[in-house]
Amino acid sequence: MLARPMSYSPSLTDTADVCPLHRHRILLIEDDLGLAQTITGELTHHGYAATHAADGQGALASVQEASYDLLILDRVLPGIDGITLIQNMRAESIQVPVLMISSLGTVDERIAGLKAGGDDYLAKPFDLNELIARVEALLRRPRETRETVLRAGDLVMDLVDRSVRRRGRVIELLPREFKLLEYLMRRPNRLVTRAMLFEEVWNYRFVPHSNLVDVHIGKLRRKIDVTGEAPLIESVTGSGFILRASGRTSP
Amino acid sequence: MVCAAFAATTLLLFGFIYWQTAGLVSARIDDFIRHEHAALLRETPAVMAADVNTRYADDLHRLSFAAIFAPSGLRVAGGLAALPRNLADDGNLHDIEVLRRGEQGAAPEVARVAADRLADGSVLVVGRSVQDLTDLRSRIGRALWLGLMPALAASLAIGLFASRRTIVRVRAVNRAIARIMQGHLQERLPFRAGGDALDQLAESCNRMLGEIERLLDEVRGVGDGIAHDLRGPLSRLRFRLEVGRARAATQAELDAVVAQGLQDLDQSLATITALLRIGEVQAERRQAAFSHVGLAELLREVAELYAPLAEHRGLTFGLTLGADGEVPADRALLLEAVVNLVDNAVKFAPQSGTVSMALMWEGATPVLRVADSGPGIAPAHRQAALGRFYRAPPSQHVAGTGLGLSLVSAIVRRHGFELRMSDIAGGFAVDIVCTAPSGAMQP
Repeated sequence: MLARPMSYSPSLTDTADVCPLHRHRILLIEDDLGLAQTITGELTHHGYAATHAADGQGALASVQEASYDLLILDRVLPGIDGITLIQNMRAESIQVPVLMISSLGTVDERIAGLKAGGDDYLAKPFDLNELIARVEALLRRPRETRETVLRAGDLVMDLVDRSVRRRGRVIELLPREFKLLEYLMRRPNRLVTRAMLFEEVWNYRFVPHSNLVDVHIGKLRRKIDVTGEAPLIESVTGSGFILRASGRTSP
Repeated sequence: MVCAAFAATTLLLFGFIYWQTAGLVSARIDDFIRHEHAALLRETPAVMAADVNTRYADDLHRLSFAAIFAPSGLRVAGGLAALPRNLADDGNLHDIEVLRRGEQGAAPEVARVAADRLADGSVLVVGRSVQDLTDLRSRIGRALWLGLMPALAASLAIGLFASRRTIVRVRAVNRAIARIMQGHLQERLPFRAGGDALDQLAESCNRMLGEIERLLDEVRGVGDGIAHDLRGPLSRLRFRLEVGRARAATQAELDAVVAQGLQDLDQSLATITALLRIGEVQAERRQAAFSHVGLAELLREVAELYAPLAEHRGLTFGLTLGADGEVPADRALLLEAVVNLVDNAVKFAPQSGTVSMALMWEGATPVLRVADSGPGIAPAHRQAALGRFYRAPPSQHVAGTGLGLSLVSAIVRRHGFELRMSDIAGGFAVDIVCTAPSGAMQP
């Protein structure tokens, strides 16, 4: 994901952690009507206000007159192509986050999409859970922390001396495990998929083995939870993981 | 155009010939006059007069002449009717009109003349007709006219004929192109073997068409292959759903059928993704990503990624690093290849077996080895294993697309490296032999 400073509704991101059902406005630009119906249905089911546009021309007008919190943009569209559309929008300083979805899933296409100004790129076919997780990640991007300490429940991560403690107990982590936990702690109470972890923690664009992430998360769990402590990382069957942080996480 | 150029060249040529010849002729005339003049001046007046008269008498061709005139202007000797007016007696050569003796009344002719005043005041005139030059000019002019006109006409005719023939040939080529564009890809452009530039161009185009036809056939073959490979799992899925709808008695049973169906579908989608990935690797577009890749660090990264999974499966995981080395490679691709090999090894290693990675050297060539204690692939099947969708016979129940090794093979070939499979003590090894590239892979 590109680290672009968020310029929109910062207050919403704070309340989002405690109120998952506020209505974010999402515009889906997709010419496949069947797919569009499924996606808007799923977005509505998850509590978003979803609007659909079937072509780039209509979408551009729509984006200009209404304010959306997120665009889900098909890469290949009739009329204006998705890449051109996003370039036009960025040229007009429309900074709304954009999730690109495309059947063009090769590494080069992905790079082209992100270069044009997309914030994330999801290759079709995808899991609806994956889509929702990415939408959430884009809408509630982690605070650009100048904080040097992350907290989730009784777990404390010090980013300066790179140490992790739970209830005073020092937890020794390998560099990759630290990165994995940091990624989860920056997104508490949110679904993080295996593909997201592969892309962000390992920087891989391929998922070699679906079990791999589970094994690494398992190792991490054994280190951070000891007997008598509440498990912090929850598995979501078929989708990914959620780091449960009871209550507010900010200091 | 060609005709005009031809005519201009001819004119230039004739002009040059005239200029050169006329120059030569007038130089000879001048030499002759100077020589005669000097010879006469050396004589005594009496001998000179006699000589002049002899010359007049001898000059049957009426080319050269000499005369002596008294200071009064009366002719003393020689072949001129009168002393030409305005003739400077400075001994230099002048072009002036003269009238010959015995030709009074005729038109005066232009001649090259030198005159000198002698000691007694009389004037010696020596000259020669330049009729030769005039003749030469008119002759060359005539030759030009007679020669150029037919040549121009001929070149015009040849030009018309040649361009007409070219037009006919271009039309034939255009007809062939039109037929190719209509989909007759086996059609070729007409040409004569060993012909001119146009024929060679047509031959090159034909070679290109042959290559395009071959590639299109290949693409068609791949497309057919994919369609065939997907038809199997999709038919299974359809069958499963059909039976599920008809037989499932409870919601739980239906859920199970749907879950199984989704799994089948994911398998098909994974196959498509893997095929696209292989295609992407084969298309040489990412050469720009080549850099010097440290091998030990690459293997350490894969080990860190896979050791937990191997241990989770009760396998012993080993990493042996020889001396570190760098190879020019696309790091992400090479990593993907090694990851696929290790993934296979972890998948196929038997219960409480081992999986190991090693960086070894064969002389100056680094070798990345991924080995496991499994049965490996029988030598007879090794070539086939690199092709698409190969599943080694004893492991067909293991989930996977069967495309891992062909992806590895594509990546290895893309780097100009070599993929090698061998039986080793207590297992099976796949090596990526990082052969030094022959200059092609320089970043």
